[in-house]
Amino acid sequence: MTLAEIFSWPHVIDALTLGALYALIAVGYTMVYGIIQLINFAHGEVFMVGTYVALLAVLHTGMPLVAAIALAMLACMALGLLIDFTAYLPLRRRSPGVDAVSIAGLTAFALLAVAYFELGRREVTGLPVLLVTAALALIPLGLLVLALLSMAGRLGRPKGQVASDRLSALITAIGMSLSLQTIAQLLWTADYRAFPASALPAFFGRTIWTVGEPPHQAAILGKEIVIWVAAAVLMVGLGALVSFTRTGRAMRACAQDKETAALMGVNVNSVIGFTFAVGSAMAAIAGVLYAVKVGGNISPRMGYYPGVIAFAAAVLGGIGSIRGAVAGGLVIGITQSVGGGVTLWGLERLAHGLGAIGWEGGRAGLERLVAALAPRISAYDFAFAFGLMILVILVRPWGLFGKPGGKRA
Amino acid sequence: MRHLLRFFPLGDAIAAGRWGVVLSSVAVVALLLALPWLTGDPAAPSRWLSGCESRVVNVTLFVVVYAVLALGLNIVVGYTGLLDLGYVTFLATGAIVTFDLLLLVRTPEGLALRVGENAGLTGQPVFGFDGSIFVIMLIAGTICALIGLLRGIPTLKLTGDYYAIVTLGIAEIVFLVYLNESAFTGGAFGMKLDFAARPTLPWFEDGQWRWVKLYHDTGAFYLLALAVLGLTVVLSDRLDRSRIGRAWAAIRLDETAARACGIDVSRYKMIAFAVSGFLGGVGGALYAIWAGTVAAKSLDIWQSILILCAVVLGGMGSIRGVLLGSAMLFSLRELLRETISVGGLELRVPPEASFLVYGLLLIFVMRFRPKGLFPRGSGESVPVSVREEKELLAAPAHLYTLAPAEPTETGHG
Repeated sequence: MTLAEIFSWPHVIDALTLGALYALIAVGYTMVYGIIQLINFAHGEVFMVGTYVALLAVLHTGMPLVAAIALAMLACMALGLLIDFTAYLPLRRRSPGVDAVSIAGLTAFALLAVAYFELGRREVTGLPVLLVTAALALIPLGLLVLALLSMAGRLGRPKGQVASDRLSALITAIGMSLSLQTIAQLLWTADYRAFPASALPAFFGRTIWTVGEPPHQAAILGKEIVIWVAAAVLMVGLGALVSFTRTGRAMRACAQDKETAALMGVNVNSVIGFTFAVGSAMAAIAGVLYAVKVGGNISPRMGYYPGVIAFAAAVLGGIGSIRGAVAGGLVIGITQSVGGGVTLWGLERLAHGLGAIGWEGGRAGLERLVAALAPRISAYDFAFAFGLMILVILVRPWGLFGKPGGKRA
Repeated sequence: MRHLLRFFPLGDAIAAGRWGVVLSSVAVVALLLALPWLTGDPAAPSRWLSGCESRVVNVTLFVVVYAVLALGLNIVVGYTGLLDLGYVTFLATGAIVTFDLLLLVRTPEGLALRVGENAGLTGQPVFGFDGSIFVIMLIAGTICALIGLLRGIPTLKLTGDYYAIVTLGIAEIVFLVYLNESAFTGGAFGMKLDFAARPTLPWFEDGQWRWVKLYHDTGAFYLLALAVLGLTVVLSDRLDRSRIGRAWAAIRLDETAARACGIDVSRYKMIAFAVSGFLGGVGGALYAIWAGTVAAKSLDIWQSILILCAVVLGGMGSIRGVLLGSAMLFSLRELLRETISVGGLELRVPPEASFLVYGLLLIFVMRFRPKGLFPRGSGESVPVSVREEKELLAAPAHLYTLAPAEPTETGHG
């Protein structure tokens, strides 16, 4: 294998597309982490829910994909707000009444999801299913109204701040991730699903350009262009939002120092809620595009790997920075697509070198290893992304593009 | 005499005269030992043995195996305060090493593993000798302790979220390796223990000692698991009360301050990683024998979360808490499988929903009882010697009660 083969066009295009998607997910992590220093483990589940909302909208109403994506964005904004409201807000602020309602709502929703699953399993139809489904829709709506009221400060004064430690917050996030994943499995089964080909615009599958020379020729499909353009536009838009608007200024203030920002009249909890909502909307778009790119991978567990890898991208670019998330996403995407090839290439070079210094036994052994690894190296693509993440955390925890001593996770 | 007492389990409690603790501990041990007899068939030739096949004992066994694992995780999470999300690595390694050793056979061509495409191979099992389970548990534990140390080298300087995410990343890489290197893990199909490959334990039956094969419904395995759990509890307790345990507590409370006090933070963290790994490996070996099959696919990151859930539920750093947490969580898992009949309506939690319970538990416990249901408290682990404790107790109350600090006049200068 030569380097030209490893960095051939098909791999490069794959890497860029993956990178753009990771960047879209990573902004959700990086903004939330920048403000409340929490790895929002449930972000991968937001990504998953967004994909399901778009899929169900397309399947059941036949609406065009763009409308479905818009709907998924709205649903995920609500979900992001709800996650903050029911799980993380109670850890930051003591307000017993609101907490009790939000937690009761979460429990009721979980129970209803179980009931929905059981009704389906027993092939019950008609009124009971209708009632349970209506309740499943109404609880999040009710909680959402509460969350918005709470953000606007209309729910009475909280009883004070809670000094909750970060371990508690992280464990809560894991719990939220697990709960959402299971609820999705109850509501939508664990089967793998895909967007029906008829729902996707014909442009997605069309070859726009052909690059490179045979045998490493690659076709750039319409969907890849769409992913790149969407990612670029959204990132620029997000950058502008954070840099130039009043809300963006409030977000940056909160990221620097929440207490001082609060003293300057910034409603910190509503800024945090807004951050969750924006990040979740990005995740919804990324989810739909990811499902379109990979095809046939929509399942309740689809969010876990992209979620963790995107967190890696956020760390890689320097946590808290949107530009960093883009750069980190691209680097992680490239690592994932070419990591296996580069490893094989390196081992081959090493074997060659051992042969050159006259150690034939070592050379033969390494060559056997390469031959054994080659067929299954592609199964390890996520391992290379994880490996890069570990390396960056160990060597440059402030990120590839940050400054030592700067913000670190 | 009293100083000698503290080297034994419950010694501190006896010396301090906490008879409630002593009696309840003895009662729990007695209950566990008598459990098969209580659930056994009175008409059977051996009531105790017949009880080993009962559902209650089987669930208890499951709880005991996971309690060993939870106590192992508790060393790092509870004592040093680092969130280890990759603990499943030890469980998986312990289980896979156990199976590999048991399936290792000597053939005319040399040593071979009866795994995957070699599954039909016959030959002399290398670990077929009687009592091999002890050797296997030691090997599995040692390998996992080494993995713990190896994993400790890069993660030594990390704290908080970074430690959690790096351990998670390492566990995912190890998971992918175990899933894909099917030559020694069986890959997606996993590995199975047939009758011949089962390890043995000495057993007194019909008036003589003989070796019996270990299954999860044999009394021998029940006693073995209880013994391992007992040793794990004693080890955790002794470590917690030792100089090492005090160093861990200092690291947990404030690493910088601990270092400033001259504590060799790296060394004590490494000890924690090794001990935690060792217990994880031994627990993994027990798990493998108990399950009878090991599939790399099912040993994923959610197993880490499940065990973490038991530790968090009971109370991080509290042995009593972790034991009770495991008992509650893993018997709950069995209870969830029951069908309850209410007024003609059959109610059952679908198995798909069991993880929902764990997820919500994590959220609620962190929200309402962040220290767990049975937190490390006054009843446990006073990190002073018995003599110091007696002196403290003899002293007038105001000498050892910490009063809230008085506001000073020259506060904000």
